[in-house]
Amino acid sequence: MIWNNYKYISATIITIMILAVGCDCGKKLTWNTTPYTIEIPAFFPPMDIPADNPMTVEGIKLGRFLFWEKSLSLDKTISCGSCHLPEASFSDSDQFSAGVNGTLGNRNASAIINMGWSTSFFWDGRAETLEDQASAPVVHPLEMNVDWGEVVSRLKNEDFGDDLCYPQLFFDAFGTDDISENLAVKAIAQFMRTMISADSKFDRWRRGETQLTDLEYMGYQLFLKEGGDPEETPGGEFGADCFHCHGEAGLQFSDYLFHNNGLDATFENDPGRVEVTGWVLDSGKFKTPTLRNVALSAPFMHDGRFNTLEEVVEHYNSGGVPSTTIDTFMKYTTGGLQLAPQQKDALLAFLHSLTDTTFTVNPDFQDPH
Amino acid sequence: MTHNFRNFILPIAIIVILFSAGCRGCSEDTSPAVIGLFTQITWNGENISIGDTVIDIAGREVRPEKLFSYISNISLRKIDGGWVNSESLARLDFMPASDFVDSIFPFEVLNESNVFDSIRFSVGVPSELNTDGVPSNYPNDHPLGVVGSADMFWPLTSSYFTMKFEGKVANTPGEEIITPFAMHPATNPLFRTLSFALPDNILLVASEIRSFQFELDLAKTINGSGGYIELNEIGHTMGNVENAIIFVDNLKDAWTLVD
Repeated sequence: MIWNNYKYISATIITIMILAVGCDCGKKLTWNTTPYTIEIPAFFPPMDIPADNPMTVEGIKLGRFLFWEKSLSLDKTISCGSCHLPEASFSDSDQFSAGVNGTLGNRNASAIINMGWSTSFFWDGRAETLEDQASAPVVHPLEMNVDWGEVVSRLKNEDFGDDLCYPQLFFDAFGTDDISENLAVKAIAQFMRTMISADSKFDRWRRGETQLTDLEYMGYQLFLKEGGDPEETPGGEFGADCFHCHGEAGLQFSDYLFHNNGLDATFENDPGRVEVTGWVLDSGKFKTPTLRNVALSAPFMHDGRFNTLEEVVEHYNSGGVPSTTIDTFMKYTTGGLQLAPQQKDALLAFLHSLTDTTFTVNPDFQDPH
Repeated sequence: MTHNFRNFILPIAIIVILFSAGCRGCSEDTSPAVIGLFTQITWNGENISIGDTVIDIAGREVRPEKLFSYISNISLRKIDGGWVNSESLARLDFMPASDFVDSIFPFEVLNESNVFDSIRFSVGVPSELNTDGVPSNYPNDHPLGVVGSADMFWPLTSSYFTMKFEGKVANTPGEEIITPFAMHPATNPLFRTLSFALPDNILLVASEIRSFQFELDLAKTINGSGGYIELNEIGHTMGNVENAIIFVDNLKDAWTLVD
């Protein structure tokens, strides 16, 4: 009788323990992270990692799940990856991305590529860190439109299936299952810092592993030369004048600064950088995007107005539309770049040499759900 | 004997500790001085900010929109004639809507008191750092790093621009300010060193922070003893070309020590 009672009590205790463990997905009792070291590709600068968000294998894993997690949107229909598609170099091939309930924004989703080297984020640079950047789309009314408190509650309490337990993933990454917005955006930022592209044909050429074609090399030289006819534009070298903004230093093909590249005469539709700085001469200025994988990331410009690279080249060739803040390098007073057809072809060939499909198909960046 | 040795070690140890502490005190007293360089931009002597509209010698409206400069080798001359070089380098960014920059130059070599009668600095990146420049070899926030040198690295020559002065000018007085100019002196021949006699000799002691106030008169960069530059004919001036030479030669008139 006593023995039977013991068996009954033991079974009850074991059942309670199993249930208790099941409630928090079988949390580990010890916390050990695995440091993750970014391998800096040849000719790239160092990547600055915030001291309060060191890279770990576990943090990156959590960040990848969150990047692709549709519960980060109000109606659980879209994740970060819904508008940052791998095949489009993690940008959106639609002009404007559709948020929850089909609401459209007014800017094209930027490509996510080598963001760990960027110094500001979004077209207007309103976020200064990847962590801040990761937070904003979740609450943006035209994007995911959900309160972070709701997201945290979902991640804590909802059932995501047998193999996915967010409290466990947060514990593995940060030593706590007390899920918060702060930890979520840190994890997403860690994942995004691993999204490195350095294996385009141009990269391989720089490393001495392959040859550019004559046309690609000619395009590269045009890219580096001053634009305009020296008779019309003092200093002109009949080049394409790309390098001033899409700086080659560090091989990121962006100066990470803000320019008005002559798209519009006025800026009512989208004032751009001025909304962040308040300085009127920042009107109509937007962040220089990287040219890496540019052949995959159409449409182009902050508002996705150009569907092809040919249209983009033609825009710069025209000199652009004058305005109060147009960049001094746009040849709007001297008849544009005046590139010959073969020069345009060369420039396009060079731009295509910046394509890195090993990046877009990298299994480490795909949807893990 | 052993006992005697132990008795000997203790006072030695105490002396060593006291001596070490004393040395730390000395090194605190001889920490390097710091030089501050406060630069106010002006136009014909009037304070201006980047983005203001000013009038050039031909009566046309001019709007400076961008002004960057490398400053290097801030040096002080001892009254015996020898120069003490900080061997420092900084990038001055005259930010929009701001009329000055304030830069700090640690004077690592200056660890004892001296009396000085002159100050000098160079505009541009010293030649030994300006050949085969590779920004990615520097930390990002270094003035020559990828981020620190943004807009100031010239890949075609693998070197850094000396200064950048950009803006727009009206073609005739009262017209729209539309014609762009981009003054981009670059390459080693356009590196210039400017010297200024101090109004009074100064005693600079180690650990001291001493600021010097300068004015950079942009009007004089285009119209000075080096020559006159027609702004609406500049277009894009880079490298060692005539307008760029005039521009850097005018810097000795444009940059003045105020205090």
